[in-house]
Amino acid sequence: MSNFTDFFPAASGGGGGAIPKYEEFTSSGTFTPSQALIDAGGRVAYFIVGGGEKGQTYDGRKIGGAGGQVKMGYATLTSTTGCTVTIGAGGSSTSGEDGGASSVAFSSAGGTDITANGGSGEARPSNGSNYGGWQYTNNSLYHAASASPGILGYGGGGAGYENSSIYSPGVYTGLANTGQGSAYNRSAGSGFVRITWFE
Amino acid sequence: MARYGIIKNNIITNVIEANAEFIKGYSEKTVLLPDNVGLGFSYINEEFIYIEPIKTEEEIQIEAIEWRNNGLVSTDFIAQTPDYPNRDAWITYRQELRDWPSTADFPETKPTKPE
Repeated sequence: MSNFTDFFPAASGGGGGAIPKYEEFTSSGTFTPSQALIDAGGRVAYFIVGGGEKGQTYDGRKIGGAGGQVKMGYATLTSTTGCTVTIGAGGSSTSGEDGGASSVAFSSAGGTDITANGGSGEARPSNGSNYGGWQYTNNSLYHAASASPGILGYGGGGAGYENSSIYSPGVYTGLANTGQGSAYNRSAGSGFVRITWFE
Repeated sequence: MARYGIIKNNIITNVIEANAEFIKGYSEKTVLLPDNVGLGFSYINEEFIYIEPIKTEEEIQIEAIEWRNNGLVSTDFIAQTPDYPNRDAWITYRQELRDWPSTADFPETKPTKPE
């Protein structure tokens, strides 16, 4: 089994005890790698969440919006040029509005751009992993099905409900910067980016 | 904090959370969005226009099948309830749902529920 620090030369070569640095983005901005990070190998870990989708109606029922895509991984940077970070907005206007995409333009600093798409496709698992309530499976609609729980509290799907107002398990109103989808007529959560590194 | 739309070919293709300072230095065309405007709107001559996306024939058929399946699932209990009011009409309706995809009415004209 690998340890987190195995992926970071600066941390694994220092005899342990290294404390990671990180920068979080709840709004669009710029990530600027430090010279110390580049000198230490330029390795960063990213955690990127797209905005959630707003719930909508379908066939007289209320279907939860899909959560935003969650992406985790590593990038290697070679320069201190600033990288544009965009934070996708949660769906909040029209019924069923998709979430916005969040991204980091690592290519500005010698890496590869990463994008986490916004939630889309509401209750259909085939359209995305972080689906909302009332999902379809094998072309059958199962009432009050649980929405996707997401991962680590991010990217969960919105709750669905019928006219009886009995909600299926899922998110009602998406929390800011979680990428959570929402129930019908409620706002979904915006996206989020965290970049972690050792230097 | 505000919502900005990223515009490509007069369409809002992404919506991001940002402040005015970030937008000033951003490389793509953006516009500050009112609350009721979001992804998929057109932005032409400083006016927002929403046009319902046109569904493909395949999407229409998939949605119709989903509607049909949902109709069968939601009335399944009636078939299991011998004394359900107007049960024979519901049984006929369920058969119409099963037959519907192979009829000329599919997918435009849906079978009608009994009273």
